[in-house]
Amino acid sequence: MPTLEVQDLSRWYGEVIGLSGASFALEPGVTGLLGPNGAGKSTLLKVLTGQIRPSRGGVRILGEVPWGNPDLFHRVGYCPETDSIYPELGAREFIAAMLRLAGLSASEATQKAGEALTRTGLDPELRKPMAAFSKGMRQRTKLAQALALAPEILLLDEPLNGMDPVGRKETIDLVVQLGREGHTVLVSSHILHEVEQMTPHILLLHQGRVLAHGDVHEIRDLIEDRARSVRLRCREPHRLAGRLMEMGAVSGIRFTDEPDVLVVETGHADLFFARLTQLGLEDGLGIEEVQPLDDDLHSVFEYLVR
Amino acid sequence: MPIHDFSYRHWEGERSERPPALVLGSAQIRVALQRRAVKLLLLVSGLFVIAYLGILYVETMPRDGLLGFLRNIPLVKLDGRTLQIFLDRQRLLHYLICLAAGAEVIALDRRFRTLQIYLARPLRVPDYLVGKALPLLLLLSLCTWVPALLLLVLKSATTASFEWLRQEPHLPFAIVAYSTLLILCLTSITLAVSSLTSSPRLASGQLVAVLLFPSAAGDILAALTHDDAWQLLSLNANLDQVCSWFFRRELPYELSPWATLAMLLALTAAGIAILLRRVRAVDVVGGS
Amino acid sequence: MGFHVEQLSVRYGPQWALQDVSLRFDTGALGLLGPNGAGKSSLLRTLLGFVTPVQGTVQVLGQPIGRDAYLLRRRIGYHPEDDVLIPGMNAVGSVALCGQLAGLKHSDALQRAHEILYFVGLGEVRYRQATTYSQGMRQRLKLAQALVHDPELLILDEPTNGLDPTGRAEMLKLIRDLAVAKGIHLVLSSHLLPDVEAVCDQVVLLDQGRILASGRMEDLLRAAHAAYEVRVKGEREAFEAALVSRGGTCEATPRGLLLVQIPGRGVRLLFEAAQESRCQIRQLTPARQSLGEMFAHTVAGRTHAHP
Repeated sequence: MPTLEVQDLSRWYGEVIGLSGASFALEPGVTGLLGPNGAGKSTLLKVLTGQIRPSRGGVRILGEVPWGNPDLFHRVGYCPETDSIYPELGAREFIAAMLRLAGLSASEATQKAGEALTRTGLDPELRKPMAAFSKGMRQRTKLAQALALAPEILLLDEPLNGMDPVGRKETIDLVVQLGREGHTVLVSSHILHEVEQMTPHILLLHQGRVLAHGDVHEIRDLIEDRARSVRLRCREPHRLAGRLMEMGAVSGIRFTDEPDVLVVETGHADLFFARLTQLGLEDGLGIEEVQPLDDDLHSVFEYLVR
Repeated sequence: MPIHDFSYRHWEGERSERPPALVLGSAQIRVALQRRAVKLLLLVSGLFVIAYLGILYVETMPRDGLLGFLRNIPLVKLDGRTLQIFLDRQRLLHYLICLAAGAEVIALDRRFRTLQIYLARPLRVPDYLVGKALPLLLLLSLCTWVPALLLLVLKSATTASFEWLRQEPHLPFAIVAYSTLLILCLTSITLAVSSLTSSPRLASGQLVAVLLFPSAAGDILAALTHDDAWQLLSLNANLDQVCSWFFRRELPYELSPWATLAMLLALTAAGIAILLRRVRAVDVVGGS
Repeated sequence: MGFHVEQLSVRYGPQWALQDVSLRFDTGALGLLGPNGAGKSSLLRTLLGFVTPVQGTVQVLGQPIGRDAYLLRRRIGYHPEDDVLIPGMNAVGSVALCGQLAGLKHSDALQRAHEILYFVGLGEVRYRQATTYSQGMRQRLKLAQALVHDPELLILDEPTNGLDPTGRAEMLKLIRDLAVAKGIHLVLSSHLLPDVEAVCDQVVLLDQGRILASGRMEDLLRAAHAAYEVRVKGEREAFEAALVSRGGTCEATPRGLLLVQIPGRGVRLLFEAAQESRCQIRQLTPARQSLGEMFAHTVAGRTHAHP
């Protein structure tokens, strides 16, 4: 059951086009929103958070239209990329104030604010004004603010920005946990390595359009015009090379500087890996490592965007 | 090697011993001279100089000649009085130069955090400040003592004697001392005001305020209370007073000239103190 | 002889930023890591000559840091984290000015400026005003400004900030090339551990002003225990069951991999389990601790105020 749907969404600013006929639907779980600069990610987030109206097409979040619909945002949390906080306030005060704007009573607001802060790793009793916070602490506050009402949908724009490695790991764990709990989380980031740690599910935008949407590895399988490169380490590389050529499904074999390593190219992933798994059982070969070289998010991104 | 390596090359050249303050200063001067406002102001100042050169020329004409009759008009002569007029009537021009070539200078650097780039070189805070001040120092000099001394020298050349100078021997000192005081004071105040904010527009506004309001206040209060001591507030008044004092003319205000001198020096020192405070070195590497 | 600090202590007022830090970096690429407040910035400020240590000796590029510390900056290039710019000049002008300020003659500086701008990928746009540059271009411009005077020591603070994935890959490639092929001593300070893993061969981890760990990357990341990361295509539960029945254990990671430990018999076991469950083995690599995990484990024990 999709919680967020976008149909033929277009948005232009005068002559400049931000989004061009984008269509997709999101289900509960974590999805990474990726794309080069200028792809339309910030425009998309602005439309989803009701800040701007589509020029054409429709958006439905939990069945409703976000434009001019402030009540919807009790169920949608947004953590923006920019530093949008009030520097004179303390973290808990700030979040509680936002919650009161949403209609909660003062005591409920303070309590929920405290819980949200604890969840993102900040001390709710800290009285320092946010002007004195480090970038990482501000980031955690913004995240807490997005989580405070336990919204079904979470839109996070570069949530790890400015955090140190400990904070990054904690936030990644938090996002994974939120996905498991059934929230629909859309995380926009340039750091592909970290998106990979949160989810294999991606939505790739390019030039204002949806270029790919789905599981990274499935997408990789669909990129047919690129042969896969796989690195194999084994005890008898030359014999393995012979067996691979015999069994077919290989378009190229390369030897490397390392004596026990082969790099194989194949255009038929399924056939190749099925046969390789069988070869793993042959005693004379001693296959010890199988490492796909261009199966990761970074490679998929490069292949699709270039 | 038939194919050359076009990637990063190491540098094998000679080191230059030019002081970084000067390097920065010349770059800043180039930037300042690109601005239309600055070019216009220099042009206006140039017109002043041309007018005085005209006066010099007229002075060489016989009194009953074609141009010579102009000499009957008072003030069409080059002497202590008219040189003083040359210097202090350009006050507005000097203020405008400060506005055009100095007001935004440090504010812009604050806005773009340029200091981090400069200080990552072998450049210290005093070098930076001197470099930033150089355009103002140069431009203001071009509108004060440089042309004034030039006129002095030309007059001596045209009269082929130093007789007239012997009647007013204080002139060279007056020109240089007043100009120096003016230049240091205005530069210090302008840069100090510029360092107070990271918005260049605000800095310009603040400079206008600093140059105008205390002067206006001083005038009003002095008129109301009939006490010229209030004129110590007014930058204009202080400068006028000191100028007349150096040029051995009648002092415009009933106020001790030593007090006005002290005031100007104090303002200069205050400006420098503010600058040193606002421009600090440790903030180069941000974060913790 | 990149730099060498011995028992370095730095203090701002009552607060200790660095305590008794001893570190030697000779050549190659050093990654400087640590949580916020760890003292990384203080260390960098000390190397650049902005801060006088309360105690300890500091030698940079073979010279002790003394009164004329600022002169050492002729040989050091610094890429700051903040978004910095020289207003009122185009790229060539600002890079040439940086070169001159570092001691190059005017003509040399101009020549280098053009070369360096091409090297960092800004050749086509070098006559434009720096204020019109995008975020990615500004990062490259900062690198150009740091390199124009051919420094022996290059200090980079978050060089891939704000770059999109393609930009990051290119920037890392440039940096790696400088460290490996051009012989420049490199210090990289970053929160992005994958960047540090990709570029550096040595690492130092600071926390609360002290060194928690330091050494060569490969030594620090040696796996804690013999395990493998496996990805299969097919019925995963069946594979897991087949594996367990042969005495192995496995654990799922969010990336979709399985972390597998097997008793002595070697990886053949995995192929057997795959055959039995009719799965394909798509990835089989020894589990290596990532820099992030090493970081987390090492820092985890300390109680520190949250960043």
